[in-house]
Amino acid sequence: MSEQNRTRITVALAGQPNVGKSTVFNMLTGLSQHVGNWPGKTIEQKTGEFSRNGLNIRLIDLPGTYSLTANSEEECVARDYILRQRPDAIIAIVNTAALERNLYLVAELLVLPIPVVIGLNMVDVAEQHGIHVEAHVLEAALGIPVVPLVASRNQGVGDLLDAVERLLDEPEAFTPNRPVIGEEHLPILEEIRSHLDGYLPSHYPDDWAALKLLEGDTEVTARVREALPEDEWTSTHDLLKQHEDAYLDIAGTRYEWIGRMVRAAVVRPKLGAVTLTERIDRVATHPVWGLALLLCIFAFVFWVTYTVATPIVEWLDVAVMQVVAEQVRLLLASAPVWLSGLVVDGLFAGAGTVLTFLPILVIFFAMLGMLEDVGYFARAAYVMDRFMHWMGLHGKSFMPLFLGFGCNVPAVMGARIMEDRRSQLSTILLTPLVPCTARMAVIIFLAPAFFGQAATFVSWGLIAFNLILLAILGILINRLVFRGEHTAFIMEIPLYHLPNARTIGLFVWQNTWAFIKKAGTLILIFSAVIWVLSALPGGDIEHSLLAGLGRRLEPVGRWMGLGDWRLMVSLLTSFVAKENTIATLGILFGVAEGSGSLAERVAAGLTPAGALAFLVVQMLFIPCVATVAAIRQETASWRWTAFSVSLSLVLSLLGGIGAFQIMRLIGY
Amino acid sequence: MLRQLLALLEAGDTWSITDLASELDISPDLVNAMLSHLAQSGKLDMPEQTCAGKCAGCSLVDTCKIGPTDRMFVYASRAPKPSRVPHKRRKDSLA
Repeated sequence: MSEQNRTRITVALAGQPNVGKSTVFNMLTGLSQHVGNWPGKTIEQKTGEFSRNGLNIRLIDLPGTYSLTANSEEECVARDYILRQRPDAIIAIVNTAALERNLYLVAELLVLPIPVVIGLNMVDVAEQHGIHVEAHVLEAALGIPVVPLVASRNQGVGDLLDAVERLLDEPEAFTPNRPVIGEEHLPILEEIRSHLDGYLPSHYPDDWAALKLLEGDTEVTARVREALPEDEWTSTHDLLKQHEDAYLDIAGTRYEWIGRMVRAAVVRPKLGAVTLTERIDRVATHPVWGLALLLCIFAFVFWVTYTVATPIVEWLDVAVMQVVAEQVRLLLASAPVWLSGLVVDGLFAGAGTVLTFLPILVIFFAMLGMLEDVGYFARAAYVMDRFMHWMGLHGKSFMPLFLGFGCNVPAVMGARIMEDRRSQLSTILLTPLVPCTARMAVIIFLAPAFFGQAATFVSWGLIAFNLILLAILGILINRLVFRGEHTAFIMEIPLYHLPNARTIGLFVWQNTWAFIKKAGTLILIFSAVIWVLSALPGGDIEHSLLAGLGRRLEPVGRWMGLGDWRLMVSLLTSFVAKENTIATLGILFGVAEGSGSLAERVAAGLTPAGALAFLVVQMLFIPCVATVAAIRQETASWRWTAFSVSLSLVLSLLGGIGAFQIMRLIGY
Repeated sequence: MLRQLLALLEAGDTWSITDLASELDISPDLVNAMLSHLAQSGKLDMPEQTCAGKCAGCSLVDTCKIGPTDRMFVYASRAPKPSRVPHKRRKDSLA
């Protein structure tokens, strides 16, 4: 049948998933659809027929595919149909807002001997994103009809069919600008083609099959192997083996072609936000300045927290907690002594003191929430990952380790994203070295009383020390476990944007509420237990069961300048929850005893060297019981759990002893 | 172009999409498209960033920050190349 007498045509609708292909299909076919399955497949096949300008059009909705390479069943189905059934034309629907990705399929379609019309869908969405595509320029660059569409509003769908009809009436007008394979591969392609000559079924174009063979397409390779005599296959296979990575060049030339098309036809006005982001990121993601900025931001967060929260915490401790505790003691004057002791010296001094943390946490979480909401954390992650790469750690370790700054438990669980056991294990072993919020809150509570104006610098140094230790261990693990294997890590970084008060408020509330629940349950119960141990057997704390345990630890404490058994016991109790250090100090140093805040009372008995050693041990000590339980669960091994706990214990003791001895050597 | 991209990744560094785009002098969207292509062909790995499935039953799922907010790719030099010969033959022959 000649083109002029054509009364019935078949048109295939191709496109990547979610580009609006089905919308176009529904608009054109309406109720005249037939839904079934592709032969021998579970993939849905939709066909429809309609008449237009006296022409009967059969429309086939091909499965959504990213390319025509046999990566998936959908791709095999789509290309099988095109090759076997040879529709009269193909309409390729592309998403205008993601042209770079969508044109890859077009690049593959143009190699086939079937006319193609492009439906440039979602032009409205693209415009909203500031992307303007000059359809006529793209048409000239591609050499095929390009029709702008908003399929959801039935805009341009009729024009699409007009373009198909025009193309079929004037086939000589179809002069596509196809992507051209690199010259270095042309002789190889020709040689492969010569091996195929006459052996493939007629619907298999030799040029296309040769290209697909060179691309390493598994399906075509299998078909060719079946079709070729043994000697031809051996020669072809040898040739393919020699050019095994040619697929990179073939796909690469397609992307170069896409780049040229997009450069010609797409106008992307620079948005203010993009320019601002680029300007800030020149510093924020710079390998050196980015890390410096991150450290400055950490220091700033601590400085703000100390400046704003410390006076409030001290006021709460001295003017509220101690006064209320005294009032409660008076109220319970007629109650049994043990009850008054339990409530005032146990629950108030323990869990109550921990609750005075609240201003610290609110300010700390507000600062973190703001940094996250403006988009800085993605940059911090990026800069930190570079740091991790520098020390040779696996790129994927970063994500779980970064979670550890919030809480070590999800960080340990997050190590599940690592595929192999060794990587997962090494990430889990490193996690306790990431200082969690609870550890940092304890440091923020104590550091100002211990070091006054230098508290910000000391806190910053403690975090840096933890991270340096993490880096050293990371290097060792990389050497021993990964044996220097390199991985690249690529991140999509969002634009900066103004912080949203509600989002930050929610972040602060969720974290603060979690802390209050913990203080009201676990820490409250533990405060009671600690008080009982500090009161039994005779009610004298210096001769209590706890004092007995603490005195056994005193020899170790003396190496770190922590001669007071109460300090060693408070560190030990942080195993239950890190905040328990403060709860225990509150009980053992007495909430209503002496003058000044709790931190000041603790600081009074410590030299600067001992104080630093105490904070170093706190930062490196065995993780809390919840983290240890998570380690046991994730490693499914008591041996590795014991190893992790021992590693933290040894590091914390060595760190404490080292800090104390060095401070003494330099005169503190 | 893919070869140039892979050559940058071979060094095993950390990259943002904009860094790669400026290094190759192409648009970030084109870099994104190429990264997705490499991920699909098995040359890059896209770590699962969602708790779905793997973390079923975890009490921290709601507050877990491993969320699908930003895409990430990991390139390991040992990632397999597409195989030349399929592992199993499909029943429906093209021939």
